[in-house]
Amino acid sequence: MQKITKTGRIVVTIGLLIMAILLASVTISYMEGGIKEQEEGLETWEPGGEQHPVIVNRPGLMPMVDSGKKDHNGNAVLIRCNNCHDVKKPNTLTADATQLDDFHQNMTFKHHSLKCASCHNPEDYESLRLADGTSVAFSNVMQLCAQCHGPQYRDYKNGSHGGMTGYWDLTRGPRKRNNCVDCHDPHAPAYPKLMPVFPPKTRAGTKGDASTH
Amino acid sequence: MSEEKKEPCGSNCGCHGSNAGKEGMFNRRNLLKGAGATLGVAAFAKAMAPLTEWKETTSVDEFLQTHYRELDKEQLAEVIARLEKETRENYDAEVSISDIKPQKGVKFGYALNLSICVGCRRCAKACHEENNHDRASGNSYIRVLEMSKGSMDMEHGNADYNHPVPRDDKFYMPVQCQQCENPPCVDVCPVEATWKENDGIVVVDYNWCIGCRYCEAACPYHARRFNWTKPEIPKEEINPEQGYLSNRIRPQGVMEKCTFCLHRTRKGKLPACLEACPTGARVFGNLLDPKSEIRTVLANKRVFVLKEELGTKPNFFYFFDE
Amino acid sequence: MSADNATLTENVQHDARFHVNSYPKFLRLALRLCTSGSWTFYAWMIFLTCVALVGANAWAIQVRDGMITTSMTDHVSWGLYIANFTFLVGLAAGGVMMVIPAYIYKDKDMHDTVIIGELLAIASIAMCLMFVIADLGRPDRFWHMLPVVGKFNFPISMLTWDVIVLNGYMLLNLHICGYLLYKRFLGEVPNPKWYVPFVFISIAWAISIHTVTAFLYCGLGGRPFWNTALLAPRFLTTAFCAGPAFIIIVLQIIRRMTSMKIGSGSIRTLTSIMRITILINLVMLASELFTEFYTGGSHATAAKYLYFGHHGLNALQPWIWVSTISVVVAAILLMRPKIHEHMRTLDVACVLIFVGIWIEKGMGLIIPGFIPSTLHEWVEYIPSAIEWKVSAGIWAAGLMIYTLLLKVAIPIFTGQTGASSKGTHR
Repeated sequence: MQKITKTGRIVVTIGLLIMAILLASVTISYMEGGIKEQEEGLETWEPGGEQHPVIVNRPGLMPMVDSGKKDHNGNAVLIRCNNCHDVKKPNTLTADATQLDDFHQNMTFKHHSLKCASCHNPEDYESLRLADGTSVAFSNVMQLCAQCHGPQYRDYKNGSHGGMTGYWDLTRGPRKRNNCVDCHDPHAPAYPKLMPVFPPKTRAGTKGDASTH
Repeated sequence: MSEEKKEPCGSNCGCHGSNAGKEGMFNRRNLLKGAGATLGVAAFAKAMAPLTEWKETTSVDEFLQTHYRELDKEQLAEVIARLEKETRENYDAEVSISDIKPQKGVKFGYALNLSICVGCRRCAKACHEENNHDRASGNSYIRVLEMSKGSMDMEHGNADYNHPVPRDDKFYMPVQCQQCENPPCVDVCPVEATWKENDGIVVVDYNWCIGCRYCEAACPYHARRFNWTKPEIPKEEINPEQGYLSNRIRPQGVMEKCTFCLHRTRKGKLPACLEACPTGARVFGNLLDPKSEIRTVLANKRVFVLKEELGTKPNFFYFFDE
Repeated sequence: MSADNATLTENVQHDARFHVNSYPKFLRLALRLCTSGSWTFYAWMIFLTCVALVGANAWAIQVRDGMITTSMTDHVSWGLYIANFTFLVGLAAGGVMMVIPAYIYKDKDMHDTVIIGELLAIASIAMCLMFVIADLGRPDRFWHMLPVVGKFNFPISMLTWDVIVLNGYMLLNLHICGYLLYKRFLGEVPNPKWYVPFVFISIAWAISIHTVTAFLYCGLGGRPFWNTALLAPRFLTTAFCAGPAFIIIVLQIIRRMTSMKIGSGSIRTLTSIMRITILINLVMLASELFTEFYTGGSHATAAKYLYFGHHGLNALQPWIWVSTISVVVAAILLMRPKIHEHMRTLDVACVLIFVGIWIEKGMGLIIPGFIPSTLHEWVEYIPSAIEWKVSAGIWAAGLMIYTLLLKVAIPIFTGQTGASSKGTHR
C-alpha cells in the first residue's frame, strides 16, 4: 500500500509540474503578446493637408457624327452637328433612327422612351439641354444624366459607382474617374454583355475543372 | 570496473560465450553485415540524390534567415538585396523590392457592390499580373462566383462559368482575402509566419513559412494559396515593383495570399483589382477616416460580410444598391 | 515483470562509473541483436529497406520539384500524408490499451507483454513525425518550429500543442522502455520509482495526443465536416479499436516466431476492449450520420458527397463503403462468443478493423473536410503515385523501427540474449 501511495504522489507531482509548465508558458506567451507591437517608429497618416485633384474623364468638347466616309488615311470623316442642324428644322418627337432620312440611321436607341430632344438641345445641337431648359455643354453630360439617375449619381459621388484609377489617399496623389458615358452608351445605356476573361484553374496543368452545378 | 560486477551482464546476455566460440562465423557474418550496410547507405544516397539538385536552388543565407519581424534595418536591406539578386539570376529580371511599413491612423477596408459587378473576372486577371503569380497555374487571389438570384448560399455558386456575362438570372460575387479582424489562419500557424499588421492586412513572411498548409485548411474563404512549384513567369511579364510582404516572386513550397496590394496601397495607391474593375463595383479606403468612401458605404448601404456566423469579422464588405 | 527463468537481483546500488561502462555494452548488445537473425528476418528487413528507399527517393523528388508532384490542390490541401498521420497518432495512443490493464488493473499476462504496446507507440510516433515532414512544403525550414531557436506559436496554434504532446509521448515511452530494458540487461529488478510514475503519466498523455490531434481539425469553423464536438471522442474510440487490433496480430506473430511467452490473457483482454470500443464507435458514427443527414444543409454536404457522391463525382465512395462495411462486419465477428479461442475469426476481425479505421481516420475524414471547398467548389482528390510511394516508404521505415525495437527488446526481456537469440524475429 505504502508503495502505491508513494507512486501516486509522484504521479500527481509530475502531473502538476507539467500543468504548471504549460500554464506558465501560456501566460508568458500571452504577456509577450505573441505578436510584437510594431507601433513605434511608424508614421501617422494625416487626412488634412493639400489634396490632389480627382480628375473626371470628360467627353470631347465638340460632338461629331460619323459621315460614313473615310479619308485617305483610312480614318472616318467626322462632321460637326451644326453642319446640318443649323439649317434643318428639328422634329422634337423623333425617337428612333428609322424615322430619320440621313445620318444616324445605324444608331440603336434603347434608352427607355426618351426622344432625341429629351437630351439634345434642339436650339443648339452642339449642346445638351436639361429638363428645365438650361443648356449644358457635352463635357458636362453627367449633369444631364443625374436628372433621372439620382441614386447612381449619388453613388458615383460617394465613390461606389464607376471605375477609377490612381490614389485612394488624395494627399499623396490624384485620382482619375470615368464619366457616365465612358461605360454607358447614352443611346443604349445598359452595360453591354461581355465574355469573362481569365477562366479559373484548379492548379497548374489543369483546366478549369473546378466544377459546380 | 571490478570483474564481479560484470558478471550479471555476462551471464545474462551470454555475449562472451558466443564471441569466443564462434569467432570465424561471426567474422563472416560481420563482413556480410558490413557489406549490407554499405550497400544500404549507397542506395540511400542514390535515393536522396534529387535533394542535391534542389539544394542548388536555396542558399545558406536563406536557410539561416530569421523572422521578418526580428530583422533590423541593415539585415532587412541585406535580405532584400539578396532577393533582388536571386530574381536577377533565376528570372533574368531587374526588380526592386520595397518594404513599406503600415501607417498609424490607417486601416484598410474594402467593399464590393454586388449590384453592379458583372462577373467579367478582370479583377482576377489584374491580380494575376500585379502579384507575379505563376503563369502555368493561372493563379489569382480572387475567385469570382456566379450566384443564383434568390440565394446567398455559396452552394449554389459556380466559379467556372464561361458565357457572356452578366446573365439576367445571376449575380456575381468576387471573393478574396477578407483581412479578418479575427483571422483563423493566423491563429493556426505553428511558426508565426503569418500575422496581422497594424493597418489590418494579414501578411505572410514567405521566407519563414514552412508550408504545412494548416492556414489553408483554416481559412473559411479559400483566400490562401500554396506554391505547389517554383513560379514560372516570363521575364517581360514580371512586375518589377515588388514588396517584401506582398507581390515579390514567392519561393516554392510556401503559402501566399492577397495583401490588398500593400506595395501599392501603403503608398496611397488603389489596389490593382479595383483599378481593373470596369464598373466601379469596388470601393477601397481607410476605415479610420470618417470621410472616406468606404465609410460612406458602410454608413449608407446595407452591407453584409461573408460567413458572419464564424466570428471572423471580415474587413471586406458586400452590398447591393437599394 | 515476470521472473521467467533468469534470477534478478534487487536493489543494487551503482555509481555513475558503472553506468558509463555498462550502458555502451547495453547499446552494443542492442546493435548486435538487431543486426543478426534468421534469413526470414533478413529477407523481411531487406524488403522493408527497399520499400523505404523507394519512398525516400519519391520524397526527394517531391522536395525538388515541389508538391506539384502530389495530387493535392489549393482546394484539397491535405491528402494522404495527413490522413496517415491522423491514423498513426491513433495507433500510438492505442498502445495505451495494454498499459491500462497492465498497470491499473494489474493484469499479469498483460504486464509481461506491455512493452510490445509501448514500443508500438514509439514506432508510430516516429512515423507520425515522418508523415508531417513529408507534408511540409519546406522541410528545410523545420527548425522554425523549434522553441527558442525558431518561433513557436504556443499556445494559440493547435499544431504546436501537437508537437509538444507527440514528442512528449515519444520521450515518455522511450524512457520507460529504455529503463526497463537496461535494468533487465543488468539483471536487476527495475525500481518502480523510476518508471511507474511515467507509466501513469503516459496513460493520460496517450489520451491527450489523440485529443489534441482531433482539436487540430474540429477547431476549424470554416470546415463544417470537422467542426463537431464528437470528433475527439470518436478519435479515441477508433484509436482504441485499431491499436489493440494491430497488437493482437503482432502478439500472434511474436508467439509464432520467438520463444517469448504470450499469455492468452493479453489477447483476451485486448479482444474484450475491442468488442466495446468498436460498438461505441459505431454508436457515435450513427449519431454523427443522423445529425448530418436528418438536419441536412451545408453541414451535410460533405457527408453526402462522401457516402453518395455529388453529380458524378464519387472518388471517395469506394473508400468509405469499404471502411463502413469492414467496421460493421468486424463488430459482428467480434460478437462471436469466446472469440479469443477462434483465432482465425479474430484475425479477420482485426484486419478488417485495422483497414476500416485506417480509411475512416484518413481518406474518409481528412479528404471530405475539403470537399466541397469553403467556396463550395468541387475538386476531387486521388493520391498520386509519389504520395503512395512516400506513404509506403514511411510505413516501411516505421515497421523497420518496430521490428528492430522488438528484436532488441524480446531477447533481453525473456532473459535469453546472445547465442540463444537465434530465430528471434518478427
